[in-house]
Amino acid sequence: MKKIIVLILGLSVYHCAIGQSQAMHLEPVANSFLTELYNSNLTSYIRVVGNNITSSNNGFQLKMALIAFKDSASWNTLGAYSKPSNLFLRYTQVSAGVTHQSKYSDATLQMTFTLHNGRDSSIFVYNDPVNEEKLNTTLKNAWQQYYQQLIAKGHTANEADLLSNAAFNAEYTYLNQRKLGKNPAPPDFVTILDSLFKSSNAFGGSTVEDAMKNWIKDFNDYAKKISRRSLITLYPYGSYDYTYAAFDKAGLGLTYLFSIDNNLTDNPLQLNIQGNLYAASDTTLKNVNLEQKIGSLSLGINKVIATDIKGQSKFEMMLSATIQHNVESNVKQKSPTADLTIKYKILKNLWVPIDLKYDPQKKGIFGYLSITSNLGKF
Amino acid sequence: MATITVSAAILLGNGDASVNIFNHVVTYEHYFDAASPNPWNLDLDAGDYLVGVAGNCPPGGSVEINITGISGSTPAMPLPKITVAGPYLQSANINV
Repeated sequence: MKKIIVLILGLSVYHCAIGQSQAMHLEPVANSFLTELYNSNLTSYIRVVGNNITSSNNGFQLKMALIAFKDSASWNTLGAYSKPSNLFLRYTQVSAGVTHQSKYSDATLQMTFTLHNGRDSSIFVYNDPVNEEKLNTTLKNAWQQYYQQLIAKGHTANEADLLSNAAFNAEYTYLNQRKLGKNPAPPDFVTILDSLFKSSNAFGGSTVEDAMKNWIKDFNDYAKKISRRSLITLYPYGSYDYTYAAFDKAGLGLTYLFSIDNNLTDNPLQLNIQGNLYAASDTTLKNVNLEQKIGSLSLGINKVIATDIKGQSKFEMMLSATIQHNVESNVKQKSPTADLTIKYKILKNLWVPIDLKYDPQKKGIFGYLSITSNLGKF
Repeated sequence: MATITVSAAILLGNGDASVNIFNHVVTYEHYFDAASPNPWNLDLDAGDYLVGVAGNCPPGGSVEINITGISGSTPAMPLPKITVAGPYLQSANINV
């Protein structure tokens, strides 16, 4: 337990320091919107989970979007994968697993249906033809003026063509690299270009570099807005106690994930609401059964603490609380529980969640280590 | 006079590309996106032209610009495929 707390503190301090040094870089372009919390609700392909792997009460789960069962030759490009005809297959997942408790073991099965997904990258549309054309036209005008300047300085038409074409191409290459620094185009060309940008107002830039920065920021802001839209999933599930050969849980859950912070300069802050109605085994009876009827509600606040250089989430923290109510009036109701989950991405697709649970019966905090891997095709 | 064909292969269909083709005499402009994805046919007099492209690559997608019907280009066609999400710029010299 102490080791886990030291590890969490270490990660937090490390990311405060990293966050300050990354502020010097040009804002990264988001290539992936998915947080680990989103992936835990809906996988885009395959997700493997090892729950509480350091505890005797552990479990393993394999989640697969239905498209993983389809011949991948028919969707080997992202365009084919994103086709409307594949929507149901991408938005529906099946998960199967096993859980081990001290006295018995369960096989679990769950289907997840997406009722609403506002953050699917295939719906992402960012177009700006007016500013793009202004930018192209301004660069063309700079090329023309630079050519005239070279002729006025005594160059032949052939020489002026070669020099102005080289300046034009160098400027496009430089801007496309997104690493703004020393402009490789000739200073006279850059001077002309900047004076033209002051009047063109493409992407609100007074220099070509300002325009490029504003363009990337506009794109990123739009990407961030998409990434903060909501996800609603419905999931029937059940578990079969194979030690005693009987079903011991069956239920229906609903998850609503959405962002509660609209400030795009901050990392996402999300609220995850989960409601469940299920029947579970009454342990006071001799046989495994489905006699208990329980409703539960869980509220989780998830914060992305740090992102990598591509803007992808790599460190998240979620605080959640769960209340549950047994419809039987003659049983003692369980006290609310609280969880703190720290999720850290150690490799490209590999996360290590550490779950700190407060147990009201034992009156203590217990730590559990899990491991999750999100496998993607693209 | 020759007919050249400019195409923009935009994977996912949600990116875009504004293309300028020009020299000291003429300037032509065309815009590609999901609503106007068809190749652009253009009649050009023989000679050298510059090409400027500005657009957006969708997240997880790609954009590839190609020009056919020309006698040569620097760099060679198709232009390098854009695979990083976000704004992109490309240029080329073509000979008709």
